[in-house]
Amino acid sequence: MDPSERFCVPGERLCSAEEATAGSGTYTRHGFIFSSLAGCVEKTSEESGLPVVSVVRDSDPQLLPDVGVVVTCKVCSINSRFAKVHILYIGSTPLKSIFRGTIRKEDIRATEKDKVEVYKSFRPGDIVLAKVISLGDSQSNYLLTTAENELGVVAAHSDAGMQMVPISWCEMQCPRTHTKEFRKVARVQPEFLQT
Amino acid sequence: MPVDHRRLCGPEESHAPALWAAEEGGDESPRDPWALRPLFARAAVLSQADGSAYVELSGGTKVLCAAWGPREAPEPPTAAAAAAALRMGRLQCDFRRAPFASRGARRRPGSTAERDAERDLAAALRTALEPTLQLERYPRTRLLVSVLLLQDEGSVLAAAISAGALALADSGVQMYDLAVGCALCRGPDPSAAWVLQPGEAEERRAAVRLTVALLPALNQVSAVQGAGSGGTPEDWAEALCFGLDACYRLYPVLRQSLLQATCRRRRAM
Amino acid sequence: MAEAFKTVEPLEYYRRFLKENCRPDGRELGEFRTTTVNIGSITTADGSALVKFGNTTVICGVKAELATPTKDSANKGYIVPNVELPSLCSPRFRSGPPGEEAQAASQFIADVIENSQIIEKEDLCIANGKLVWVLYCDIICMDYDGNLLDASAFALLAALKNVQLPSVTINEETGLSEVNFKQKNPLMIRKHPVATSFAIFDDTLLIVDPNAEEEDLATGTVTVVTDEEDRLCSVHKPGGSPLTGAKLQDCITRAITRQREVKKLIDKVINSIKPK
Repeated sequence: MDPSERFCVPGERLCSAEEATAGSGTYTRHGFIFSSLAGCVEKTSEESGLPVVSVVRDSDPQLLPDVGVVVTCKVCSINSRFAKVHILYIGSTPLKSIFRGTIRKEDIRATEKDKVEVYKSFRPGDIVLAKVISLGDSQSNYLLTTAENELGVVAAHSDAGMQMVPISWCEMQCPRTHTKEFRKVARVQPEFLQT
Repeated sequence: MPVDHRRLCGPEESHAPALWAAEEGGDESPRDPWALRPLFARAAVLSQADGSAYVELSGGTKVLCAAWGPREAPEPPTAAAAAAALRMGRLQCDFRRAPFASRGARRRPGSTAERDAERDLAAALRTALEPTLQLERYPRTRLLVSVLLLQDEGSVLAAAISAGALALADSGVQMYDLAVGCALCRGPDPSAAWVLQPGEAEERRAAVRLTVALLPALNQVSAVQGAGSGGTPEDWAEALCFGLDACYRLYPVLRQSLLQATCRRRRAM
Repeated sequence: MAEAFKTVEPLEYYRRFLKENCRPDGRELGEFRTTTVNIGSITTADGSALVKFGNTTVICGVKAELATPTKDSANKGYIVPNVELPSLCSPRFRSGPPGEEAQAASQFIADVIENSQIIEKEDLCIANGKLVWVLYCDIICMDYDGNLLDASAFALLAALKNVQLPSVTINEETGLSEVNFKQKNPLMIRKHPVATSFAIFDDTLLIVDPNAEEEDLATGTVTVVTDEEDRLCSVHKPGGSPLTGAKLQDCITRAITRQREVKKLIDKVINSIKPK
């Protein structure tokens, strides 16, 4: 191990807030920067201005769904008004535990919102890319949207149990039976193709 | 008495053999009130938890603790609770005592007395640990700390507080500080001095018992829990200082164990 | 990417390893995890043992108490096993009273004690019809990574071998019992039952000592308990996929060798702490 590595525990004072900017894994109090994690201290010097002090852990930080991030989720139930999903990934980081989310009918696509039907967009078991629009209120959990070209169903199984192939933005086809099924299909970005 | 259908119960009544034993001389050698029992701490000991820690006090108190990072919180029961949940996460604590943890009779798991005792310990633990956490970073979630007491030789809550803070830090949640717990007590004799980290026998005899929890880096007290009678306010204040001083002396051990665990985790990558 | 594949299609991921006759943790199909046992670490118990199968950690503490026997078995003591799965051992368990799995495990251990005659209950009798020992065997899982039953049965056996009971005499004149803690005697362990669990994959493939992930993916499990005379004490197969007689025979053969290994391990540890 690199002997110059400095490890710290939560609450440890790292430096004065005048010497550096507080990065991730730290907090500022009374003009000083403190560590909020047990980890390794990193100092990156910026071209202009103060260096950034942060504390990093090797395991992925425990991410939480936040407004604006793209998440991968699995549809668990649908009804005429919304689809209930389990959020599995934030970006490309898997979550350690499942968080539930809701895609309301009006958030499924950007155009012709009044003609949307949930069962023609998602089916239970589908893997969907969606974006978080709100942490929800006291009644509901995370609200998600798929109203963008890049968002929607990325993987779905047909009734015959085969992985279907997208044929348009609103249809997928089973390679075995050639039946077509309706979905709100995502235009797949290259980075997600490997999965 | 209600029957516990979820456990195998055995005979209705049984007694610890110590009841029939000749009284053993309980004279312990007088001890230095300043002396701390050596403390062993190790973080990152369990595979299924996000973070974990084991704390053992010399003399036998053994506490194991697991912590889990933010998880989806259950539906809040009231609108006020829901509003609070949107602002910040919640810490949930669970405390279990092994039935064989104490001297004398076996503790009956699930009995009312045992459940009450465990609930009180869990509540005290939560009070002491909550100020260490940056809960506002984790809205709509709950963090979980679960403690198992394997052997009780006194100063249990204090050991659990230290172990809980280590486990939380090991789980990688953002914290303001660690927490260090220390217990102290005073015998029934009016001239008796306060003793740090009492053993089980000392606790049983004590007239006054106190557990303090300190956030060492911030120099703040997160919890003081005491019970007993007697003593002037000055006396209590003195005890508090005494206990906090002991916390500062224990802190380096806990810090070191956490640093070692962090190094180990890094090497394992 | 392997990580993502594992999350989305865990079973398919697993089958790819099985095809190569190995498991994601590097073990062969018939290989146990490293097994260790530590005896007598809990001094508030009359006997205790901590058993580890890889990550899976189980502790058993025995508390001996005195009670009056029941009328119809006046010369028999009691052995009361309980398995607890506290929330600490895995996020899959909630706090509160024992759930289904803990109850099933307690019953399994009780059956093993009953069927194997690990201890003769008559050995626990102090005064016929008046006073007997009750052995409370509390088994607590501290780290749940599969194969709870094998680890629990092992911890129970090792803890019982560690028990030292104080001598009890009944005073002839007063009729009261007197306990002497200075004179302690070990329990007579008559049999050494050892449990061996298998997970069944796709109805045919058997893997030994499954971890938690493997148990979740398996289509069934079977646990075989044998003693040192190669006699079957119990076969526990809670539903799941069917198993042919030949496969079951394989399990029993494997269980018998495992019994030898575990017995050897216990003897080694007991001997290492004995000289005093």
